[in-house]
Amino acid sequence: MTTDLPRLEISTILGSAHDDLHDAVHALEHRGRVEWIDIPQADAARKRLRATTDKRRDCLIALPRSATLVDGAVLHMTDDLAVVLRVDSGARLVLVPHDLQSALRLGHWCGNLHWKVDFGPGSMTVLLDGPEERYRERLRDLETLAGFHIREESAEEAEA
Amino acid sequence: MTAARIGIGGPVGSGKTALIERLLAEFASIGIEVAVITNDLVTDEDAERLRRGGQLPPERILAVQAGACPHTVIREDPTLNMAAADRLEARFPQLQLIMIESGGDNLASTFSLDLVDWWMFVIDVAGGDDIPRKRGPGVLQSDLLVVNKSDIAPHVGVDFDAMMAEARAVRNGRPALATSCRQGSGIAEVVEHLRREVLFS
Repeated sequence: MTTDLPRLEISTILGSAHDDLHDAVHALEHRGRVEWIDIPQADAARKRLRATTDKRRDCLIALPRSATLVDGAVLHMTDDLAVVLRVDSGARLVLVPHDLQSALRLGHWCGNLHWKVDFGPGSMTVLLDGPEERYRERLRDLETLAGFHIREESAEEAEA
Repeated sequence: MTAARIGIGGPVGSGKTALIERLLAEFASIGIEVAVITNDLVTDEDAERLRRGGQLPPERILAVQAGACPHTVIREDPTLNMAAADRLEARFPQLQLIMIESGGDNLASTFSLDLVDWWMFVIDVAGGDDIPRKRGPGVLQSDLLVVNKSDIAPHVGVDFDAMMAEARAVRNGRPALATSCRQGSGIAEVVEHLRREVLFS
């Protein structure tokens, strides 16, 4: 549901609220003139989407193929209004294999399930695209075949 | 503005190509500039069917051969399809929409959002009314679920209203639309949805 606030058409990313446009966005924030668009990590790969700000303003986003939606992306900026993207980094499970054989088995298993993963030192992080229990159910099937445990994410891992 | 890229996936025989044929007619009537990329296993079958249909100039229809499971080229490594879409956009800069049809696959098939901006999953009543409650990723995660062949539901023992209700229930608020590509019903609703969510027109 949107409001009658003027619709915005967004075709480029102007900068970052974490970097080059930090001060400008911060100043508008003090005046209550920043609107936020929240999207899950899974949607950040889209180049075109229809989204709504927290003030329920309708935004039509159509970016060049080379652009990437990232947390803090400034999508609209005038003297009176900034629209900034917030990307929820989403739920993850960090899997730690106990030995080489288990690591191979774990990697093969997750690959067969087409899960999205990131690799870290001695661990593999699964990026969840659905309820966590659905992932844990599949991992329980693996417990008799490989030694591993699920580690709580550290602050650095969650931040990354 | 670059052309929107949408994916159309679903099981073998559910009506993906038939839906594209219907959509092409609708888009032609409202002046939307379109191209199509088909995906088949080791042939150009669907592309040839569309070219024979004559709704688009043949050069606006490209074929990708997956050579393996169809989802490998729309999800795991969509490079071939991305390159085909780039070629179409370079050759036809006026394009507003590129439709990428997956080869017929299973209920776990999904599109990478690196390849498409939005995707729909097409199932049909003849595949069984239990498909929605099997909760495959294609059914759950697609931006739009299309339940096709609504016209033959009584002939295959399917309570269509109950099937649609289950489809909407498992999708947790995401849209599901009914179509009969054979009869042409429901197509206007799919087009309206695409215009609102993707084409912004």
